[in-house]
Amino acid sequence: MKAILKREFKSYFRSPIGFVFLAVFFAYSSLMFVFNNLLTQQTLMKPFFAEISMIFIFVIPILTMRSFAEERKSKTDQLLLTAPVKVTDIVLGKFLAAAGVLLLAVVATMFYVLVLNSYGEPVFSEIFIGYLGLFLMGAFFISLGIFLSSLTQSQVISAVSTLAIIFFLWFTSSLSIKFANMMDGAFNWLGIFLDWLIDFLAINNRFADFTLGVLNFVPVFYFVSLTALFLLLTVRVIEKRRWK
Amino acid sequence: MVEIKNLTKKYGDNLAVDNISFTVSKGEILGFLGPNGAGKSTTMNILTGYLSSTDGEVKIDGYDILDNPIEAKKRIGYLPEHPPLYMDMTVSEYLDFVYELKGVKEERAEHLGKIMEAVKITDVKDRLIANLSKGYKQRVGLAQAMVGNPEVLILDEPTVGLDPKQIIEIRDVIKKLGREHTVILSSHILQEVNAICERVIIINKGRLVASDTAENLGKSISNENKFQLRVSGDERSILDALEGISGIKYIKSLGRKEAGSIDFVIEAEPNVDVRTPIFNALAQNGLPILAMQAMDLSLEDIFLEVTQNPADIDAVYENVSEDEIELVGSSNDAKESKKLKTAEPATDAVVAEIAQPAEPATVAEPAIVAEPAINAEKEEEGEEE
Repeated sequence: MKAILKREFKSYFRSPIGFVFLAVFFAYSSLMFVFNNLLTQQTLMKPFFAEISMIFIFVIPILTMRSFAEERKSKTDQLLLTAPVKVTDIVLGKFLAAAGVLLLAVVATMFYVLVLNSYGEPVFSEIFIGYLGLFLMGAFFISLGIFLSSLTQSQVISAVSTLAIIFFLWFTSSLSIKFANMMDGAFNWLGIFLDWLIDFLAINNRFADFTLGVLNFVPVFYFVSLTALFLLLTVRVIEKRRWK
Repeated sequence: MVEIKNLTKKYGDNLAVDNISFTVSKGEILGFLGPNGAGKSTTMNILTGYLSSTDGEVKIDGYDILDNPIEAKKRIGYLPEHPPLYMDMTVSEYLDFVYELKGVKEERAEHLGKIMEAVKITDVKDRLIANLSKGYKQRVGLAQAMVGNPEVLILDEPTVGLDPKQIIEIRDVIKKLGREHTVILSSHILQEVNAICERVIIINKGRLVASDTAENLGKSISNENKFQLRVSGDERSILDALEGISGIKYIKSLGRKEAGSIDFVIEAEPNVDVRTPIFNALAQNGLPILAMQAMDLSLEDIFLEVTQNPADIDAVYENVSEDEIELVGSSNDAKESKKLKTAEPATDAVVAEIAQPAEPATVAEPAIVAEPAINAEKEEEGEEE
């Protein structure tokens, strides 16, 4: 696993992909920092986090589109799958490498906290929890992206489907329809179920819990378990393919 | 060392590998022959654990590839059909990665240095793999398989894309490796297998059609008494001149390849040298021979024939058990030679029958099968793409 992690992480910076990811992330995050903190002259980072999470829709697919799609296309998966390593280790290595790049990006933006600290008095625990949420949500998107990448040989399909699904998840939180109110009588249960489903999928609501400044177990569990689920699905997809 | 029992692989309804069994002992170099689409790569992919078989079992040094994949894979070095190279790495970075991936215990610099020397890639070790020529890429792929000194090396067409000098070098490397390793090597070039392998397995359409030592197989094939002739003159008078020479089984016209001359394929009875009578006959009629050349029978020729009709497989190879092939090699009676005639080169030729009442049937047969056989081969190649 270590070998794969190392190679993957390095390969992000051998090609422009890692730099494009970091550049877009930094450009957007610094813009948000300027708008939400510097211009408004406040140390509260909640609006910053709320805005910055949106960029994941566009940058996570950059990070994950190559993952397994490229390996299959260039047949290098034959090397990995015939080497004495478990599929789980291969998937985990790839995930951790992408998560490492994400961590690099997230940690680098902590520079803003230093800026805030020299001109005001930010609440570090709140900010740290916000960062944790940002990273956990990003990690979940990465596992989703890797899963979608394992389904195809085309980087384009991999990237577009990842973008579409993250976009969908992100915007379900803006849905203010209440199906339970619309569906009376016999179909009330369906309305309640749809409301629950939308709330469950509304990833931004889970993330918003982190920006409140209190570390809550439920959203942590939500992100960690979804991440694990998609990594597991990826392992299954790859193992299953041998039997085709 | 490598044990394969009743291996079967189905892709949907398509039977890619059909009940193949063989074993390879330690230190043996086994050649795996077959035309494109015969199931060579599929079999190798199953041996290495990249694909799973539908049925049957594969054991590497006693470890089942499905039940104990890690132990089995530790003992295998695999060079797939397309070398699995990361184009964005340099050669030494790549080999470093493979070294770590396989969890090799040997001293790194020395081990990798030795491998790079063996396949002669030391001078390109700091270059990006993407910028290497195909021959070098192939060698890096071979180097990758050698990392960790696995006991079994499985090489899928290792000399494809190399120039003749490199081919000889790589063959030497493989021969050397064969002293300490078990090597399974696939190829569609008979000469190559002949040059390297001690034992040969031929598969076609997923089925094992022959298994013998390269020597015996070579004998049975070179036993054919056939050559190509180019004669200046018109076809009718040449055929008239050749008529009546005893020992000729048939003459097939290949048409005009050079202005004013006709090319022919002539097959003679085994052990009959018809070259002098032919020369005399043509000389008497004032028809100069421009070229006369013994025809080496290629594996492709055999397969064009064999792939044509599944029943032929039984006729030609399946019944040719090891001892029988030996028979072909040592004795030359007419019955055995019949077997070999199926190895007719497939062309769109017109068969010109010469008065040989002894064996009239042999004349028409090859020509009928020739053309569809070519198509079949082409189709298979298309599928492979």
